[in-house]
Amino acid sequence: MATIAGDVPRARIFRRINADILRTLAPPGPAWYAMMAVVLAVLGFGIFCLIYQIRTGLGVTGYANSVYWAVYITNFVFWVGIAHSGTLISAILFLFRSRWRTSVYRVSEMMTVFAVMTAGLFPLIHLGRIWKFYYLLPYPNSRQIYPDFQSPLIWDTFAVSTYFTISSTFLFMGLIPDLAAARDAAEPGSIRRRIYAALSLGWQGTDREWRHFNRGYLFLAAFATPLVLSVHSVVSWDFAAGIVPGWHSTIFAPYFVAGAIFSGVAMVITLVVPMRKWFGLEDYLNRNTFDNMAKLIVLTSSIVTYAYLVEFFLAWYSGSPFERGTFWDRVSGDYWWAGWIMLICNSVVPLACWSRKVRRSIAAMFVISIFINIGMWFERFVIIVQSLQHDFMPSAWGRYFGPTWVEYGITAGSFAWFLMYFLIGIKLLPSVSVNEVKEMPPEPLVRRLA
Amino acid sequence: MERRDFLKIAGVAGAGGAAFGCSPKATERLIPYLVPEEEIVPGVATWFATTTDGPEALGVRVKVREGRPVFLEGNPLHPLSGGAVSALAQASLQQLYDPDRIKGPLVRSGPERFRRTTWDEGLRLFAERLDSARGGGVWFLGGHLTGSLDELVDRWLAALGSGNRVRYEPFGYEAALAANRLVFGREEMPLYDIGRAGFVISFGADFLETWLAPTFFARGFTAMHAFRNGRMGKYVHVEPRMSMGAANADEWIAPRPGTEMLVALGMAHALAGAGGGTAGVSLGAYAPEATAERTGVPAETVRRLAREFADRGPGLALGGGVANAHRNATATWVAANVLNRLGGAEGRTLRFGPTFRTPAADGARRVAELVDRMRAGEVRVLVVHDANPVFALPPAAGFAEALGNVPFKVGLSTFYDETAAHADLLLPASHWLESWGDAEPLDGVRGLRQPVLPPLHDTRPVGDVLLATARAAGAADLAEEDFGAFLRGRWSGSPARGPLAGQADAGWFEALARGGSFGDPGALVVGPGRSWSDAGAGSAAAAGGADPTNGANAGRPAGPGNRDRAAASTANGNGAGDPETAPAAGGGATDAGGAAGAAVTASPGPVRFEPAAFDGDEDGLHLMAVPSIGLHDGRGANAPWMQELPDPVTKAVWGSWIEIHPDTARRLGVRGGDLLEVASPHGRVKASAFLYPGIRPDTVAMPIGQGHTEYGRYAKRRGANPVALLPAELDAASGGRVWFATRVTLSRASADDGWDHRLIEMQGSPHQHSRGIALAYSAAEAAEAEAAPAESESVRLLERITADADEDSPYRWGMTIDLAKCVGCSACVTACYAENNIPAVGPDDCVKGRELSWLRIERYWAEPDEVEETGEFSVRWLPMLCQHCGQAPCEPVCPVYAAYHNPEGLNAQIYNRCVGTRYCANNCPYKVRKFNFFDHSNRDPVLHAHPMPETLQLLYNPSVTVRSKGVMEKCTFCVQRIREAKIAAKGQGRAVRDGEVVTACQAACPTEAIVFGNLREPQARVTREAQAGRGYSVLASLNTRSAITYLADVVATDRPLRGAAGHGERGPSHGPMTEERERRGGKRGAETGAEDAPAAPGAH
Repeated sequence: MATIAGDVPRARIFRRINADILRTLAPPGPAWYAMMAVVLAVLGFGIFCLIYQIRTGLGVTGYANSVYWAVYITNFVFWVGIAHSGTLISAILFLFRSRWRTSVYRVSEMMTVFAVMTAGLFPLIHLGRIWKFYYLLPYPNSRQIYPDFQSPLIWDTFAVSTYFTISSTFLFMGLIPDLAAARDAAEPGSIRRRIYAALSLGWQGTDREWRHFNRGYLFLAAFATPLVLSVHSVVSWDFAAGIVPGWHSTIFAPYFVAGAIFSGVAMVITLVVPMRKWFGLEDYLNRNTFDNMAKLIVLTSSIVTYAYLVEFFLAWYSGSPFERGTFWDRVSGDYWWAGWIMLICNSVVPLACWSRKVRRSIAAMFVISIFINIGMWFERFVIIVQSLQHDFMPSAWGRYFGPTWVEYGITAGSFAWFLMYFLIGIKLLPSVSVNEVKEMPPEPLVRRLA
Repeated sequence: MERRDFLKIAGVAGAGGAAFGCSPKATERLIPYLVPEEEIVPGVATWFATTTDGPEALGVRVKVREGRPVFLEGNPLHPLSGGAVSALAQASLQQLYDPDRIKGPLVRSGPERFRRTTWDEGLRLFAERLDSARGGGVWFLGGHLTGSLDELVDRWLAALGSGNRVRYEPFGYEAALAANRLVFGREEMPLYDIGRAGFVISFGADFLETWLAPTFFARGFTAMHAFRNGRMGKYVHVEPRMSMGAANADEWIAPRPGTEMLVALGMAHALAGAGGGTAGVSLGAYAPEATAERTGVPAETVRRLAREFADRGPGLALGGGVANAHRNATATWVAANVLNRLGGAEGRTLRFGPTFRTPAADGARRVAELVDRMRAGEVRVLVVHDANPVFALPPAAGFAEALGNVPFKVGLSTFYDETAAHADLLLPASHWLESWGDAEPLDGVRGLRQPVLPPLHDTRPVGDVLLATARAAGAADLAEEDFGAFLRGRWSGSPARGPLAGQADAGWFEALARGGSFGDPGALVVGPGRSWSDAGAGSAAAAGGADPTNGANAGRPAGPGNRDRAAASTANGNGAGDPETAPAAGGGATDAGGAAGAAVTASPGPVRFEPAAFDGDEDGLHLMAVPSIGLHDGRGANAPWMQELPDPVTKAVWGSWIEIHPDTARRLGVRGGDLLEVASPHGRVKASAFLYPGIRPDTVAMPIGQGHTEYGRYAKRRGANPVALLPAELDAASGGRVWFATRVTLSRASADDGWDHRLIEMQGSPHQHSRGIALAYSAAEAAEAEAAPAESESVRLLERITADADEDSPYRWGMTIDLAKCVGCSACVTACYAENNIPAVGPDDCVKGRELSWLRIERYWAEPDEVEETGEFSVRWLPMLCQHCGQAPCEPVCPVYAAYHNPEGLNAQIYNRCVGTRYCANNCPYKVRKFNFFDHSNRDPVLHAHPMPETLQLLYNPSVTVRSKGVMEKCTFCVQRIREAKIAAKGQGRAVRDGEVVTACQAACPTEAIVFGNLREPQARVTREAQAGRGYSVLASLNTRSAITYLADVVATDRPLRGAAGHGERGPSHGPMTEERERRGGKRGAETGAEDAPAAPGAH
């Protein structure tokens, strides 16, 4: 609090913050409705594709020969990865007292919850018999069958549902003071006010409440932190526990966690840049924030690149013809292009972030983030599809001809599903943390007010 | 209301509701017998012995469940099937249920249009026309018939005052018969006793695929070539293309097209010297050095082959096959016969004891005559039965046009094929499973055919139609009510003729139960007894006790039959003679019939030993049109099983292709899968390129059997018919049809004709990439490996595998597959489809590799560097199915226990638990798990319509679950057969005995390469085979503890193979060779990166 600059009265700053941030909750305009219409149309098509797929059979997808997992599992891992930065930024950086997180953590937390909700759909969409999905859940049943806890897919069920529970609780917990602010800003007697009143759980902003809130928040942050590591580790074991060359590797857990944070931060940038523009939040989501996120990208990109190199090295060093065959195929086989997209987008492009100028250029960071999003999607695609189509038996090597319109439709639908929640979320919930920003108002804002 | 009343009413209502709930409707759908027939016990199969149709006429046993035939197994008593069944024969079961059969009599009502009619009406019309054409105007064109129907056709024609019978098969044996007449003085097909030979050289005869009696020969081939007690025979194949048969040869010689006879004569010259000669052939001019230039085969090689022919025990030379059906086919056969005579084959491996009933020697000539007569308008009524000349004859023969001159054409066809489409009246014949009949493929081997179900459609057996029309024509001697009566009369009624003459009903029923009367079995013994199958003798007791009609799987291996035969053979020692005492080379022929040496002086007549002429572009490529094991001459084309059976050579399905050598393709700028137009002077067709290193660069090959314009939904508008490229010529010396006689040119084409021209390959990489999957040893190495099996890896491996079942389980099921016996014929694949209700997925899904076959034959070509090093191209087969691993990678990853390990060591798949995560399939290193991407079991494979045609659904085996969409499936080791055997054993209070469980693939295998049994029984055949020194597990380094032990292939070669194409990735290592392999493996390993580069284009 001591950092508030000059002689600008605190109350004025706070008022300004309240006004700036809660403005995002104003009734949506035509642009929002137009976007929502597009999003719903795409989502509708995605649902149509899913129903068509369920009725007809998974044959309407591009699965081929030994490639029994493809786009859906790629999407699953991609979305779980996206979901990682939220908790990382809100929990881990909170524990590390990285104050730059304050302006982006809410958005990234929302992103986390919505991304998990999206990710969770894909293991179901990819099931051959989606109508029997409950076989995967452990509950006493007349079939007298319990899931096999040896299977990484069961670990997945638990990891993802736990992650969803914690991250949504964490999101809600951090929202309470802000919801109270929104309540106070809303017109007395309106429905909006009543909803916010209920959601804010009667928050009054007393010292005692703040003390408990801060304790609780710290506790949840500590609780959520290991999950960031565990969830994606478990997801990575979906692969590492298999014996497929290209999957079966002990490096997968750290490799996937770093990759998840990498892709998550990139996705945060991708989402925040337009949001910042539309809602006039330039003062809050300023260059410092991007600079710091870029540094995270540099770090995680380096880890991911290191993992790539280690994989190739181990394949060579193992002497196993299977490992060697797979990794040679990765850069020279049918999917050489996907392999090189992965390497260039994830290892080469982020090198630009070593430059301070690039890090502080919002346009540059936006472009880089798009590259990373694409690169990380292809990373999962390469790991899954390329490894599967070139494993042990040469006779079963087969060409995967790429996804069909059904898979494109469902993938597009998943983005629409995510964006739908996001569009609703930014209109219902303060997308920048009012209370944390007040703790340390961003310098540009203070300068302006002065 | 009183409480009690309430309870009463509630009770009655509840019971009533329950009763309604269990209305008999549901039951009715399961078992369609309200009052079951006496011999039918729901759930228990009835087996009937019968005989297939087609040229091979195999004795089979039909498994009938609830009135429907669902599976064919070879009749172990039948000398030609020997208990095995070919893929094509198995597929004829599917033809029974084909939705495109003609379902009732049709009469033409306009161009391209037919009107349904009644049998009375149809027969009346037929009889009227016959009556008006009485005499020379009636012609009967049919396929190769033997037995009673053959006689009936002759008598029917005689009754109509006509002798115009044309017997025609596309693949005839005219050249062989002519050559046998010229050299041996007998226009007959002798018994080629491959099993007894030590050295077989085939000049183009694909005796493991389509030539003469492939199932029979496959057994003989195993007896001769399988590796046992450190010994094996050698097989050399001479043909410009490496066919399936050639791929099984120890050596493949590819001479210039049309020059095989010079190679054979060169060998004869080397055997007998320049002054040698026999049967009017003097060998002076044919020294290997003199002919090397013309044949392209080094003199050195020819001399070595001749030495081996003489030294390796009785030799045998065969001619024939399409590779040899060129303009000088007879010369090749004469040359082969000269070699047989000089090499001492005659009377030993080539015997005129019982002879094969081949299609008529004048078949092709008679067809040409028929065309002339039709053109001349002399044919008034043409009856076509079991022949499709419009498809099978080159358009240049003018058959289709000539048909236009025939006023009345009657089709007695089961299918609406290209010839039937020209008919004026179609009286559909019943399928052979719906008909009485008999067949005599070999003298004295008379198979009986009995109907095992009433006709599915409004069809009648051909014999009935002929008898009815003969009656109408007033034939007094054809008074039998139906063909069944005619048949029975012929078998037991007339004392002079029938094999059961004078016997009462009992004899007839016994013949029916046995599947026929097979004469003196001693003459037919295959090789020196099948000693490798003696292990089955232990089970003979179990087998012997079984009821012959309901004997299930009993008694198939070895059995008493074989032993008796072996004994009889030693005892009677007829003309066949003992190899030891057989006459020396060049000696007089002493055959059973005693038609002695007259032939020796016979002149070879018009035969000239010159390379055959080829027409077409001088710079063109020689075109081979080849029959395949699945499509044969095209008769299997409408069976989805045959369409989806990967061709053994190319592994392509649902279409045709043109095989081009990669060098030629490079020269022409062609890549694998490119659509080409193939043009000859006689026609042009389109086909996709398949790059095949196993063909001469100056030759191309196309499969016969596709390119149908009619026939049915599965065959129609698919691939190309290479017959359109062929000349309508006959071999001058024999009158045989010419198949290999023209050169073609290739150019790019576009697929704009609406036909399916795709090249759909079911194999990924054609190479093993040094992964040691299909191993091979040279004979010396194999002997070394087998010498010290006691402490070998395979024994240790076996101990571990055997442990992979519950401790108190008496069983751990396992299998051995002897690659030295496997010939790649794929009969097992089709048998598996039939037994396990595996649906065909259709071409569109095959493109994506989604075929559901539980068992596939992998085909691996020699590594490119190995070919470069040795100059020898080779092919290895590997039947790949679920390995039922002790530590199965698929099991722990399944979240719902759908994949689990059962107490008997089986890796089981529970369909109704499966949710379809497909993780198991990803984690299966053998890639044998298959996923139901659609409701394939109820979906038409080509039209993609639901539900699938109702008749095809009747084919499903009720013992096996029909899988729905979204679940994983895979080989179960025929768990239903295991259950059946266990239930039977339990009823008798004992354990299952060795040999009682026979898996479907094992039952079909003509070479007994597959052995199944209980690994916990030390004396079981499977256990003993698994201990062989050649045993190994595929991908053993993964420690999956596969329950299938492969026995490495053995090649009769002096070249060390060092386990071939493999390095460290193998299970057992054998003694002193290990070091050598390690060295090589190290070298290979370093190159792994490079060798993994994409192989042949179109390989994926």
